Amino acid sequence: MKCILTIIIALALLSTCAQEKYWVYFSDKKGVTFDPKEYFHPNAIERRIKNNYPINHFSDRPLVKSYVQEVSGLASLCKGVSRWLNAIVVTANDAQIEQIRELPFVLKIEASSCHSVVCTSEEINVTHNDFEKRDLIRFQLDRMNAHQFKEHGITGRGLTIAIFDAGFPGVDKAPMFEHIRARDGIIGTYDFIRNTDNVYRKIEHGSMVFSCIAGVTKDSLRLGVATGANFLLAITEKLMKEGLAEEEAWLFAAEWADKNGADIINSSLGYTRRNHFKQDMDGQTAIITRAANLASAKGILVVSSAGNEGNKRHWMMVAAPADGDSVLAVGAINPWSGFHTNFSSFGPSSDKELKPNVTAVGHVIAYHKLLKTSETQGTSFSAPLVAGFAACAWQANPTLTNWELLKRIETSGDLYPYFDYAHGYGVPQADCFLSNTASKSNDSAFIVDIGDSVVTISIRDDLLINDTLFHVSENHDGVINIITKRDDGIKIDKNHPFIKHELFYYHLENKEGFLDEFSVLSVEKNPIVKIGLDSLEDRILRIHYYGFTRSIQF
Amino acid sequence: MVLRVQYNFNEMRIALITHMLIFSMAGFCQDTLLYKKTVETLSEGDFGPNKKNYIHTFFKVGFYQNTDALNTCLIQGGNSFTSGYGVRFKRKLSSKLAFGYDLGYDFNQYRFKRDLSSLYSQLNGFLTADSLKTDKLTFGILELAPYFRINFGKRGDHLGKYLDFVFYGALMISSKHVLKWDHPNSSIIKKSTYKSRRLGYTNKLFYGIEMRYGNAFYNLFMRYRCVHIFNSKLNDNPYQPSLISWGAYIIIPD
Repeated sequence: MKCILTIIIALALLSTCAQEKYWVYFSDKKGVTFDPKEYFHPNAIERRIKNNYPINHFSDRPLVKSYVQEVSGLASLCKGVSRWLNAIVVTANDAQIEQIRELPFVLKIEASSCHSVVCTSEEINVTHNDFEKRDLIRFQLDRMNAHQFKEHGITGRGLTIAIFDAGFPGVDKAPMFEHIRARDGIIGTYDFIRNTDNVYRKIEHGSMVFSCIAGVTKDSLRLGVATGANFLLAITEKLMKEGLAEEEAWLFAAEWADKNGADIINSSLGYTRRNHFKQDMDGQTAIITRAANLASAKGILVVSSAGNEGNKRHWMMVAAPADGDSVLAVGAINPWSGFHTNFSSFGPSSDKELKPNVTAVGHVIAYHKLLKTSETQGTSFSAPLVAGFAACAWQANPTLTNWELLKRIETSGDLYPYFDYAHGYGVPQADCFLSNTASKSNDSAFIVDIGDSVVTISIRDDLLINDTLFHVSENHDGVINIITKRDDGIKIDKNHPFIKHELFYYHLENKEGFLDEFSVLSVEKNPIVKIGLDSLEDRILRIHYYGFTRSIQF
Repeated sequence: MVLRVQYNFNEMRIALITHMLIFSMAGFCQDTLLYKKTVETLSEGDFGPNKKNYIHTFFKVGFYQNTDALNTCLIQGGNSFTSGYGVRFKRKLSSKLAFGYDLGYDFNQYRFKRDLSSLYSQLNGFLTADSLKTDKLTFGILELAPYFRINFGKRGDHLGKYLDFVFYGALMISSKHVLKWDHPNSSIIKKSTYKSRRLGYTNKLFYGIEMRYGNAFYNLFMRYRCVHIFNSKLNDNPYQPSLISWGAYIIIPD
């Protein structure tokens, strides 16, 4: 009996005396002196000027020292301070937090008591040989026409990309990153979990992500396009630990990246149901999303993986910070099938913003510590492909602001002006940044027959490309089944197993401006699709095929 | 492919189902590679963490407490452990309260300190304690453990912290007792081992209570078993293994 009582008392004490973590927001920054030229890297000041953002903005000034000291003195532990939010993170018990709440300069207090792990990638090998690997390397960049950047000598030079991830082992030694190390292209590193400069440790997910931005194999094959950019590497991810601590680390890392002149932040991390409810994915609730929006306001282009929740029936939607309206959320396509890969999270955000914004190849060849390169998959890797792409696009168009660049990347999507919540505007195309290539929008590609009860859509015969070489299906584990569908002698192109497939897309947009449903069809014969008129009432039917888009208002 | 206008009854039925389930008469001619309704993505649903119903699996690792209580066998702390795997069902009653049950399998091992455990002498009276090297009891149990949960924090249930009050019942499905001796004084036998399965001197049914404190990622637990391991067949043996274990559940999301 004594033992039982001991157990009950111990656990009850544990639950009642537990320390919680809180964000304590201050009301002002009175009396604070701040010299932006001393604090910021020149790039950061330049970026602010370009974006018409004050170089001495309230949010960039330091916190009032006495406020921080007073709150820290009352709390059990101060875990960090944020200039952007004018707040500090503390751990405190109920009594302590009540004392803090009484302080006259405390604006508000928010509990921060959730825990999490994140899912950043799934790894299922499906390429079969070295040849297929090499072709996948080619395809992961060619799908964006990114070779055109190289042909124009554009490698992201002059741009700084900050990568926030779980660790970068091997980046300090691997030949894949030698070209960056040789020119001191890694200009800053910091581990926001352990508060050290050493980031070349822990989980190699960050190294893999880095390789998809700027890695070059020993055969001079480029895994990413921004081989000439500079880099800031930060660890913000603490696997198997507190999720919100990671979101907070992300915020501190964003402030650090801003201070050190980052132009682009790549975040291949996503926070979902372990930290949040779906309704929190509204672009303004999650700490990490708020941080990403603030970074964007200061002129940084934030590129985030959309998340790998597409096949997880209890979430499916994008992961924070991809829900931010200023964040370029990147989904994933399957290089075999050419359309959405099943793990890639779907949009929209809970406030019905279009997400993901764009897509890129989500099954890639990336750095591997032992094998040098290996195949991996996840939106963790489609995002850095686009981050590298964005660096090159920005180098080619240096007058663009981050917001203009984001919009230009969207309009460069191969589906644009069509969009849906699986592909966004499609895969961005480099040629849109190198010439004034007009997007095809000639709706004469389609023959639309509106009958009494059914709308029948066909494709002009000369555009009908019978892309039925493969019948592609995916199971819930992301395993791809490719079956040759035709027996008329057409075989898989052995030289290029990865090709762009021409598929038919359509969606229904309601009068509130968001999509009710969307679909992708293979194209075999006319008619392509028949849709009941009753389901089209007060809606816009938008169809897309082979670069052509047509909208029909009902 | 040309859309057929005339249907027989079965085709009509299939067409109707397709219409209802797939998408208002779309995709007759081509393969539908992807079809999605936005409402499915945005729907919170009532299944999942923080939702009304949730199921997840867990791993469990714990250790038996070496106590000074009278009639308790002294055990080798680190080597006396419990580990398990199971499924946890949860139903939310409100943002503060939930209930559910665990179904699981537990593997348990006790390693007794040979200088105090006297079990072996009853089993093999001709051997002495001095030469005993190993005294290990292992058993597996199937467990059913209903629990009542109190949540802490505003986010309710799985996104907060919680305290579980658990009652468990368990059935022993396997058992093994291993005893090993050295024979330093014998020129013929250097070592001998005694292994016994399906032990007759252990109880088969157990019950007890447990308290868990945890979050979405792990629970810390303390458990008190209300039934002794050894039954009345060893009733003249004064010693019983520890009743208290503590450790952690590692939660594996669905």
